[in-house]
Amino acid sequence: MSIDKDLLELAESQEERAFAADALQFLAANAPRRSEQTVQWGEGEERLALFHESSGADELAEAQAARSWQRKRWSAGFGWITGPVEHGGRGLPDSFDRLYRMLEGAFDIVDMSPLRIGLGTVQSAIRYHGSAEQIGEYAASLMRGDRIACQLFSEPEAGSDLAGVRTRAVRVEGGWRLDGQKVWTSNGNFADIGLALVRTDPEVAKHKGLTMFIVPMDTPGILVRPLRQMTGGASFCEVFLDGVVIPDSLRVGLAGSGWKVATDTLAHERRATGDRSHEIVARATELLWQLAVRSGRDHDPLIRDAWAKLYTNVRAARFQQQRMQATPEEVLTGAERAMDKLLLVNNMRAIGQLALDLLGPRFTTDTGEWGTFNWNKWLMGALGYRIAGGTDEVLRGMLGERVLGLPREPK
Amino acid sequence: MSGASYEERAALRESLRAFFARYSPESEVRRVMATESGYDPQLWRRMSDDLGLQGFTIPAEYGGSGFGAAELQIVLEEMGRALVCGPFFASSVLATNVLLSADDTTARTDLLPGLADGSCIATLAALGETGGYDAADVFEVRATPIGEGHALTGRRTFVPDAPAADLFLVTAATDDGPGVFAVDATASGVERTALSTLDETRKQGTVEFTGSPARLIGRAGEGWTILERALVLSSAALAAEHVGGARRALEMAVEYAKVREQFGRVIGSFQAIKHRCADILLAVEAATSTVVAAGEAIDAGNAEYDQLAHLALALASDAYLFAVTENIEIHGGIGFTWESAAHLYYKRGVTGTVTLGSPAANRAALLTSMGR
Repeated sequence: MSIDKDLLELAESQEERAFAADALQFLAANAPRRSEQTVQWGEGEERLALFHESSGADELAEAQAARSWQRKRWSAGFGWITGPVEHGGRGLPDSFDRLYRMLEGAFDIVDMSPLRIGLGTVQSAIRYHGSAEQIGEYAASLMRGDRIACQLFSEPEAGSDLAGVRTRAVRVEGGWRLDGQKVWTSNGNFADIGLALVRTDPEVAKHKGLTMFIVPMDTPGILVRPLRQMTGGASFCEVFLDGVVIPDSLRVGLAGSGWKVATDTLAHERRATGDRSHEIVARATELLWQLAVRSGRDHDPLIRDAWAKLYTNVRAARFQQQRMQATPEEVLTGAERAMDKLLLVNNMRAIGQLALDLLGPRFTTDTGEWGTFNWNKWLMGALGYRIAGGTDEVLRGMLGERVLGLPREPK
Repeated sequence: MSGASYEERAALRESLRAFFARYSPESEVRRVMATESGYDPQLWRRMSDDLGLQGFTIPAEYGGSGFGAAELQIVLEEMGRALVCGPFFASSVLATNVLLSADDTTARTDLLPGLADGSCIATLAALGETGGYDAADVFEVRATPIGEGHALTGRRTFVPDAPAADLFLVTAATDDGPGVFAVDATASGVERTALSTLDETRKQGTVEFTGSPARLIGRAGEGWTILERALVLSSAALAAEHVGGARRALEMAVEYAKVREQFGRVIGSFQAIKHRCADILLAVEAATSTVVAAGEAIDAGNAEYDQLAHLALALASDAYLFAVTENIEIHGGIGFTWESAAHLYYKRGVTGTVTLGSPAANRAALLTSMGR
């Protein structure tokens, strides 16, 4: 009960306290308390792969589990806390949403990552740039857990330079016809809708000729193929669009405003990333110490310093994330996520490299021993994280320009 | 003010920044660093009269204002940023923390009010020739009981602000184990010699004690305990000073990269420079967050405060050294001149990274405090 008291203190007004009390009642009735995680060598799943690599039935089951928690949230009034009342939202300010997320963090709920894109980027793009009909039909259905979304942004020829997308949309009778290829699509194989950034005007400057569309993934002409990555699993898809015709009512915002919709939407997520990645990194760091002890290396001064350095940086990254979470919105520059990601990725790589050092041949050859061979997946995953969602180089450029005010590269 | 809001802390920072910009600009730093005492008595008085800085963390019953570690960190960040010359770290951080870490109300009542109003400048004389606070020679000075008090004999070196000090807090061995003693700088048998230092903004010296009358602080046998706590508290403060200096070095690098043109464009538009600046920013931000966490842990009485203090100092030291080194590189030739302020920060940074143990020593201490 003392935890409840602590949690209730997060509320800052009478209204927030009443809201928090309701939320705690809902959470307590539907999810167990989160217990302090202790890592014990050799017990349970290894969980060393940084990328989600379950496929087929498992992946669908995970999506279903996430969907059913979202439905529970919705029924209890916590599904769309800031959403417009006329579309089933609660119409409350952002602070209530933050409060709910902090409260939910004290409970052990299912992994919500299959819904992350839909509840985050896609919902927000539709809500702030879409029509009332689109909000009622699509944004609300994502929040109800009725639909799952994917993001159709990256292309083989448009990675870091996202504004260079080549997938074309041309006006045809009844709407638009889309042709092209998207890649690195999470959820591509089971999403109901995709949010697609496509070129509608190749004659104007590249940022000005883009438009955003909602694309139902069962539209004829869409082919989704799993994309196998270097770790062996397939966490993403390729999406081929061949003569995909959709009505003009699925255009989000004006034709030519696609870049603005995309950047506004990404800017909405100004705060640093969530807790999950930091928790995974903390667990791996602790496992590495246990590995050092088991390998008789915990008295080796080089290993001791390498681990202490890693531990220091892992704590620092977490403190950084927490400090940014606590910073008032108006002081943020919009590049906090970039800092958070760079620190996180550096730590992920350092973890993988220390594992390599500690394990020697057990890192590259499977002896069957728990918690050894699969560290190679961790290190490879770190290389993927270093690229996904902005490469180290793009992010450092962003910090230099947005935070430090250094001039852009001359054209 | 412990638990001060974001706005209150920002206001404190702003007023300190204005104060030091006015009374300790670079021209003053250069003037004062060339003096023998290494401080400006007028500024020292102003710091006390106008802002009460010397007594910032000293409880009100001993003449201070009783602020927490988190607020002291803001003071040090701003002083580190302005490279303020003077015995603040020696007296208001190290020596104050020693007196606050000893369970000795009489000593506190007698000594702290003088430190709080700046009328007495104290420092910690604990280091032997090896220069490590964890070394065996920390308690090499010998204390012999004489009447009610003790007499000290031995030599301490690397003593911060020895030239300006009125009072030495000395670690010494007694028959009952290690102890901490207070020795008046004017007492008999005390001889100090100034040492040349890389960082001229912060003086050091040796102090030779020959049968010098000394007062025991706390009890004999408690020396390590008192010293250890004082050093941990001071580490969190020093780390904040590092962050302040490192952030200023980053600003200098960025300001210069925005105006210096080579190959027909400002050098800050080159990725080689831009990305390096971003790397410094990352190091400084991560260190800042850790320093803040350490300060809050101390104020909250959190059990892992010692871990976090070591962690913060290790990280802030590395960040400071990185920032001052790259600042010189980004400035190019001008950064290697005496005229540029880059070397002043560099020298403070290098000195700072070994003032309370190197980053590696702090990481080792971190593991020890984790029981690993």
